[in-house]
Amino acid sequence: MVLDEKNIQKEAKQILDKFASALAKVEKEGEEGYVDREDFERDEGSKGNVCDGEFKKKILENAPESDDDFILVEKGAWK
Amino acid sequence: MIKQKLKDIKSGKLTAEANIKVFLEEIKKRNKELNIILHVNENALAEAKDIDARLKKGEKVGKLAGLGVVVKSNINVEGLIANCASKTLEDYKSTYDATVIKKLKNEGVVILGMANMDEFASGSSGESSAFGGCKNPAVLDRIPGGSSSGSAASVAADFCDFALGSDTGGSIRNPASHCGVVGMKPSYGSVSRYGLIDLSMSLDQIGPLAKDVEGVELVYEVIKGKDEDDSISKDFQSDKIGKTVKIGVPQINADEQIWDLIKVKIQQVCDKNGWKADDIELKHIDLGIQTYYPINYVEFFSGTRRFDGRKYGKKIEESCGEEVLRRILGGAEISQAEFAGKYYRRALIAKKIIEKEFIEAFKKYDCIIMPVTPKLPHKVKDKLSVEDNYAYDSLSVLANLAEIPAISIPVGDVGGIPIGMQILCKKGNDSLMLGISKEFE
Repeated sequence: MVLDEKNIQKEAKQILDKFASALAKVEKEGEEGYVDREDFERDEGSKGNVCDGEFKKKILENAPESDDDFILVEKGAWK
Repeated sequence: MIKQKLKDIKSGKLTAEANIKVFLEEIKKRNKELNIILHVNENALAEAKDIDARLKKGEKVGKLAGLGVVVKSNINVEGLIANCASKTLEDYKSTYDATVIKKLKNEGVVILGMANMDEFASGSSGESSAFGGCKNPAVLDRIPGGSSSGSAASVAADFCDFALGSDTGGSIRNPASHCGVVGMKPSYGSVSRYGLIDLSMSLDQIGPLAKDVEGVELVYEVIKGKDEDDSISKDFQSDKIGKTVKIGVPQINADEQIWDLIKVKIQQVCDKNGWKADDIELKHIDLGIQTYYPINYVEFFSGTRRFDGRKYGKKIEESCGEEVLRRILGGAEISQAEFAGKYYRRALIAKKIIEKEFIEAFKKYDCIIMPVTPKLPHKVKDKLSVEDNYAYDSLSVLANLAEIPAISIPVGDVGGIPIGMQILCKKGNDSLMLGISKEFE
């Protein structure tokens, strides 16, 4: 069956527009920190804590500027 | 029911082979008519025989040894087809076991086969499978619900002891309600999603379906817990059920016949146990659908970019059905307009508001009870508008948005159509929810 892509896209957009306008009224009630997970911080576990010292050393050596464990970059410099 | 069977298998009164054989014969006899199973595990009987042999030798075989499970076709089981009921992944054979499957296999469960479902879990009627819709064994002329249609139907049709489904906006609870079985969506993060082919990762959750709460509980106890392969997974400490339970009943628009059944049940259980139920107001719960779908569209669009034809053979946009294409095109549209924050950002803010509303409600109440769906399942051949189809999810999406556990348990029927009641608890209180649910059976 060949689907009518243009029509489906138009319909999806109409539905989403309708939903977005229904949510407009609550937007001001919300907070910016909507991605916070509070007590739900990512836990790297034992696997995540293992650091390859050699790799870290090379990466930091390659960085134009570094400070202890961090690579320093100028904000927006990559744009 | 399952507990007794487990005892019988361990004592030798029933063999794992006999148990699995009955299910395989039932599948062979009725699957053509019901279209519940997409792929049968040809090794199931041999695996059951192996369990019996190990039992005879006195070896450890696991807590659920000899039971048979049907798995939704979006969960990876090594060697079986996980096609998400889509032509896009038609011949995709899993190369590994999802964490939940590993855990079940470790406990001696035999995989019977892979269940039909709405294509890529994008649906709530069970009709959008690329391999034909699945029938509702409880009432053949009505839809089974979805998207875990085959999982719920396989329990209702006695094709297995229990089934696994996934629930992003009600996909376990909705078909459980329509097929007259029990279906549980655990708290977000309490069961590993490693090996689940995602629909919307910030909302997806794997959960069990069975004939009764006890069966669901047994499976949940095995599959729950922190998994190194799913960074959001976590061990939760659930409260235990106290002498008194306070129930909140929100004022929600739903079919009166459904509400009547639920209210009678609440009254009966409160009278029997000395529990208390209050009508409550949740201000923003009517925004569930409007919040859920923009998030679902964006995350689904993002997740399906890997199906570009290079690794899995077919490009999704060229091989999928209408609802999947709608979500992809809609998601692409929202992503383009994201800088304006009109859709996704607004939906995330509303999600947080709904989540907080439930947190506040659970400070006063141990659980909240409401219908699973606001209306009865439609007849198989009826054509519904997109928005009428989405309306089925209006009450079930709330638990996903609030990241809380929710369960659907049968509460009666309307003219022979099974009706489910939804019990929701605070995030992490999955065991409390199961304890409360038992009183409603």
